[in-house]
Amino acid sequence: MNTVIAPELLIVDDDENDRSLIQRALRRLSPAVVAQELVDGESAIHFLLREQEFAALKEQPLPKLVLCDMKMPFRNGIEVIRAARGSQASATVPIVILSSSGHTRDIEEAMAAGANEYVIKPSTYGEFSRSVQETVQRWLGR
Amino acid sequence: MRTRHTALLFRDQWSAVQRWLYAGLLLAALAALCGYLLPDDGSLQYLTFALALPLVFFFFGRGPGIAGLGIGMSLGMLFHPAPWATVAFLLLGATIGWLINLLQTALLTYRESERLEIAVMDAQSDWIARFDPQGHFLYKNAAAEQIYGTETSRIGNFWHPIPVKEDVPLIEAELSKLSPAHPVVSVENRIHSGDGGIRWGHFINKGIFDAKGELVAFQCEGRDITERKSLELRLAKVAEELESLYEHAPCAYYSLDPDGVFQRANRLLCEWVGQPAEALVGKRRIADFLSPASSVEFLRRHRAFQAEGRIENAEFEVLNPDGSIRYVNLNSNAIYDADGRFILTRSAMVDVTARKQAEVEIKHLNDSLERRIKERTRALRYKSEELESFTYSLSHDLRAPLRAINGWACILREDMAEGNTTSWLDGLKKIEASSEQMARLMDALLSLSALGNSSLANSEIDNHRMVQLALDVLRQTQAEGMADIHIGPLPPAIGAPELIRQVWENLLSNAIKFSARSNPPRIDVGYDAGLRAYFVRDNGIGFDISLAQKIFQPFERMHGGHKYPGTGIGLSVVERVVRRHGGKVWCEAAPGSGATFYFSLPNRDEAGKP
Repeated sequence: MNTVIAPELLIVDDDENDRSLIQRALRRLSPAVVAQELVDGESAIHFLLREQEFAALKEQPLPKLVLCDMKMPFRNGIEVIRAARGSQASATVPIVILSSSGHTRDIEEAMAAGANEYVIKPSTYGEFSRSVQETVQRWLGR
Repeated sequence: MRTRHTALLFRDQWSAVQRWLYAGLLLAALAALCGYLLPDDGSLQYLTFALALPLVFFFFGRGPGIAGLGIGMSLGMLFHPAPWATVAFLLLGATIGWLINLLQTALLTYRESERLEIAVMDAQSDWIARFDPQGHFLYKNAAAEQIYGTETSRIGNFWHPIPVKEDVPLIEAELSKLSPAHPVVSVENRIHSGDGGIRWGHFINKGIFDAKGELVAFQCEGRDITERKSLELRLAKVAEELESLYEHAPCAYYSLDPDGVFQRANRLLCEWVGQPAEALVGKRRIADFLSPASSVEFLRRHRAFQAEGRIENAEFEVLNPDGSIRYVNLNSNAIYDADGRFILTRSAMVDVTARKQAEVEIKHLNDSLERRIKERTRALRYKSEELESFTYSLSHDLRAPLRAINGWACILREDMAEGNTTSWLDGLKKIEASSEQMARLMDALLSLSALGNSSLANSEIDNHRMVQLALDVLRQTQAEGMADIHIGPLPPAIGAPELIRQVWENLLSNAIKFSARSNPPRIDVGYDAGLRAYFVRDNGIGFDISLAQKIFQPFERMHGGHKYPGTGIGLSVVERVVRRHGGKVWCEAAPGSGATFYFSLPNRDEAGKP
């Protein structure tokens, strides 16, 4: 999973299917986008803070965009945002929450914690794919 | 006063001048008669003149009598040849006149005093009468005649018809006590008055005894006391009413002296303290009958009360004879003597025990109502939170496999169109897995919601058998190899067997799942007598105990689905089943050191209790 090439994009999602769908949408958008996948919030925090298993990446630049799920085991999306915003290096990394939940409480909590955008995962693949592509285009300018 | 008798008294109607004038005229006429009309015998003339002198004394008094004597003697000296005879005649006449005058005055004085006496008697407003020893009227004054009636009080009549018949024996008894040593008795009795009414009289009866001690008469002096008597009767009635009101009042009346000792107590108070009034008055203090706290409070207030003069609506606790407490409301006024010294309380106590009890009851009801409302609110909040978390999770957890199915179907369609076959098998597997996941979720959700509605069976549960049944199911479905499972003694419980089996199955399933990668995996099942709880312990990956709160909520999962698949509902089912049985579920865990799940269930003794 560790890679020497610093990825432009970080995908954090515990759902294997969602990760695959996101990757496919990205490939369709631009084959050049390099995305790192992580399956839980805790490893995402380590990655962003360059800690523990990701300490070796210390000198590498941080991703230009983080697509993060909300509800994950151990540490959820909110905790990832808080941890990222708590560190100077990662304070300005754009973090977009991609979540199935359209609950106002979740949206408000995420935005208050410092999320840059909150995108509700659509239930159909077409919409989901379009939504991911538009988000990436918005933030990476492609 | 009446005028004097005319025959004796007419000279008093004349003035002094008239008296002298008439006397002078009479004497002059006599002198002329004697000197000129009578034969000049001398002696005969003076004798006639001398005989006139008593008349002068009689009619005109002493002065003209003496003057007449002087004139007679002077004329005799001048003209009579035998002066001694003249003097003798005249002196004789004057002496007779003098004596007549004296007699006349004495008689007059006597008659006068008798008349006065009668007048005084008649002027008396008291009824005065005298009776002979047999009781017949001898005398009655005007007032007596008026009150008794002229006919009834006629002299010689008997006294009996005068008093009211019922009072006669009393009067006779009193009269029979009369004796020379004890000559006066007084009686109050009713009489028939002359006008047909009935009057009350106070009678002083005096026995009049002769020298030998024989009763010769008795005198009765009566006075009208009808007004007084009717006032007395009214007063007595009022007093009786007051007394009755005091005694039979629905509140406790009493009076205390400055030391707090009873001076008076009505019937209700005596009833309250279980003592007769005689045992209280002058002997006991009110503080003896109050609860210790009230007693102290009373003594404190009693001192202040003597100065302030009033206690209003004070609440005290009176001890009933059986030691129970009677709550009373006290109002008291102070009574002072003319010098302003406190002498007595005038106090009233009202029983407010029923009100107190009602207050306590109401408070109790309020408290219990409040408690029930709190409980219901808590239960409702719990339900509502549970429901919220449930729908929230539903949208999240059901959407994910749905999206996956839809996604992979689209991908397959795209790839098929492009002739790209690499993803087909994988895609179909994903669709299969996602739809299975969805089906499992649906089943789990249904079972979870069914739990909330079903009523619980209350049969005895053989937990050993339950564990075996659960393991049988798990052996068939569990993909991982079975751990080494040690089962200790498991006491029976009371509950719904199917649900308890589910609890065991879910806990064992988790234990097997999370210990599968341990070497060797080991699971202990048993009962902790100290904690009074069943437990399932594994040596698996464990978790952070600070997150333990979340794991019993639906769809909350500790571990990622890619490593440890599951619906996220198993522990919610455990928690719900145990809670519905009145038990509790909790866990101990640490990352990397396994986890122990405990749950308690009611046994036969506790069944039925919430």
